[in-house]
Parts: sequence; C-alpha cells; structure tokens
Amino acid sequence: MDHVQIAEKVDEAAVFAWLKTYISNVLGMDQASIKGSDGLDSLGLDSALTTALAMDLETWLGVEIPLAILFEAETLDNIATGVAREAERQHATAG
Amino acid sequence: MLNRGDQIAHQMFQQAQLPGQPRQKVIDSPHLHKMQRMHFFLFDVLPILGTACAIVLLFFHPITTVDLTLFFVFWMLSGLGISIGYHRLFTHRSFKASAPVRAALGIFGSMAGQGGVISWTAMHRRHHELGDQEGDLHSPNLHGSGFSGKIKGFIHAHFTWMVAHPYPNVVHYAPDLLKDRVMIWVNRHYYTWIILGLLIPTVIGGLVSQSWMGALTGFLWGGMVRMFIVEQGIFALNSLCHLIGRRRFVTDDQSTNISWLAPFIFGESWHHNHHAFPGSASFGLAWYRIDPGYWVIRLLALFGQAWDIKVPTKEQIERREIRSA
Ligand SMILES: [Zn+2]
Ligand SMILES: [Zn+2]
Repeated sequence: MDHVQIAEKVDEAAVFAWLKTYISNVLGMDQASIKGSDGLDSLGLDSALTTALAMDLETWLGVEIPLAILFEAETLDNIATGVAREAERQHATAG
Repeated sequence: MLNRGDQIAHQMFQQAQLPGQPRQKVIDSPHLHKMQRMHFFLFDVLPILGTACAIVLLFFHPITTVDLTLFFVFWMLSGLGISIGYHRLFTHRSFKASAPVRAALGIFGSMAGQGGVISWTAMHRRHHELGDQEGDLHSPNLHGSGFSGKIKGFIHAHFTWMVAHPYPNVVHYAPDLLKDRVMIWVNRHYYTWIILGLLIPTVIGGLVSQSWMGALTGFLWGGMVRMFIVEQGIFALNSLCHLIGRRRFVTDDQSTNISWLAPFIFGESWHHNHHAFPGSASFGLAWYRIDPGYWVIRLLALFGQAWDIKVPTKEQIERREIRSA
C-alpha cells in the first residue's frame, strides 16, 4: 500500500479519501463505487478488517484512534467526521 | 535459507509495509478484549462444561453407537478443517486447492470454534514470525525460569492467553486471504458455521434415536466433546510442543516433536519439523511417521482436488539437521 503517506493536516475530506483508497485496495473494489453513506459492514469489513484499518489509520495519522469510533459509526462520513475531530483534539492537546 | 512458502510470506509482508513509519502489527484494545472474553467463554470454557456433563450422563445413560459416530465424524471434519485447511493451506500455502475444497475446509475449520479463518491465519503467521520471542502470542517460554516459570508458561500457552490478547493486523498478516472471495465469504459467516457444527449432530442424534435424549447426547458428543478434544489437541501444540519432546533441526524457536500425540491431532505434533519447514505440506517428513493431515491432502490430490503439494527434498531436510560436534 505505497499510496499511504504520513498525514500533515487532516480534515474530514482527507480522512474520507484515505478510507476510500484503503478499503478499495484491501477488498479489491472500485474506488468510485464507495460512497460516504456506506457502512463498514455493508462494504464487507468485519471486526478483523475494521481493526486492521484502525491500526493503519493510526499509523497514518500518528495519533491513537479509539476503536469505538469505527465500530459505532453508521457510515464512512460519520467515521471521517469522528476521526478528524479526534485527530484535531489530540494534536491540540499535544501542543 | 527460506523455502518457497516462506519467500511468498516474506514478500507479502514487504508489500504490505508502509513507507512512512513502521506499521502497527498488533493492537490491544478494551473493545477487542471484551469480544475475546466472550469468545473464550462460549467456545473454550463451555465445551469443558459440556464434556463434564457428557461424562456424568454416562452413569445414567450408556453411550450409543450414534453418539460415537457423531463424535468421530465431527471430530475428523473439524480437526482436518483446522490442520489441512486453516493451518497447512491458508496459513502456510503448502498446497493449492479448488474453490469448493477451500470453502469446505474453511467451513469445517470454523466449526472447531478457534476463531475465523482470517484471524487464525494472521495470529499463526505471527507465531511463526516471532516463535518463542517477545510478541509471540502463546509462547510457554517467556514466563520466568525454573519449574514454576514453566508451569506458568504452560497454563498461558495452553489456555489463558486466549482470554485477552493483542490482535494482529490482518491486512498486514493475511493480505492473500483478503483477496480470495471464497475465503472472505467463509470468514464472514464464522458464527453460522459454529452453530451448524453444533446443530447438525443434535438434529441427527434426535432423528436417528427418535428421542430428545438422543438430541441431547448428539449435541454433547458430536458438538461439545469433539470441540473439547480438537481444542485440547491444538492447544497442546502451543504448550507441550514448545516445552517437551525432541528437536532435530536448527530453528530460532523452541518447538518440539511429540510422536505419541500425532495420531490424535492429525499429525500436527510433528510441530518442530513444521517450524523447520513451515512451507511443507508434510509435517512427518517421512512416510513412516503418522501424519493423517498429509495423507488426506494426498488423497485429495488423487481426485484432482489438491495440487502443487510442497515437500522438502531429502537433501534439504538433511542439511538443516543439528550436527553433533
Ligand atoms: Zn504453522
Ligand atoms: Zn509453534
């Protein structure tokens, strides 16, 4: 997955773009077919894959993401919002 | 010194590497630990209780041929599903198989209640990567020295590591399985296969005996007891086969061969041979060592259902042997 770079500034759109690329790579899906209204479950990510996604997302962002954000969100849009907010919060508290 | 299976696994690890910083390969999270505790209770503790019930019931109700047959058939199916499917095929790619055979092996393996095929594969590849070193999920050799350290290690490796453990990154450890539509489907329905594995012997037991008692003993012997026996066998690989027994090759881990266990766990207890040659479909490495898992792979090949079966040559085996000075 050599498309992954370390994130500098992340907003919702950046997280969503990352999710789209990641999921399409892992599941071999067409990127264009992945919508913000899709849920992880409906895309075919079970808890094992969701956990893997969380680990790689943490590496990319350089912050820890509580798994609950991913497991409890209904849609990719919700996840992008939650993750971007969490990353911003942690960056702010870090300095 | 890597054999072909290892080379492929190594390449997969490399490709999955992120360029920026080292990839996170395991995670500990309260959310996952909760799921693990639940799984442990349902599929590791309950079969022990079920087996105890089955034994107590023997005093009131003698075991029937139907019960024994159900036990034997479901023990074979789920045990071979783990040994041939989960272990030799999906984790180590030691042979190739058609889609129906992959699906069947994945489904039978799931019935053993040892985790979905993708999780199992990821965890077991990590075990081979770090055998008996820090990070190995179930090493009996990291719990202090002396007798008490060994006992603690045994209990951890055999059973208690499963209560709550670091969970591996499956995209890192099992990218090949994630590309296999058949296996994604099998993995997704893991709990369905477990339930079927318990329901089918229950229904058959009830129908054949035309009684509720028959359904109960079918459930106990074809479900609980066989789950318990298959589990204890596989747990023994993690505990005993890294503690006692014989070594023959130079390996980085402390794995051992325990010959007397082989007939009871489909040849898996040639575990040291397996650590020395993880890409080999044969664990016995010789025709005279009992290795039913390998024999069934050969049988599948006879019917054109398995091919590209990898086994090291005599020279490859000999040059890995420990040389006494
Ligand atoms: Zn193995
Ligand atoms: Zn081992």
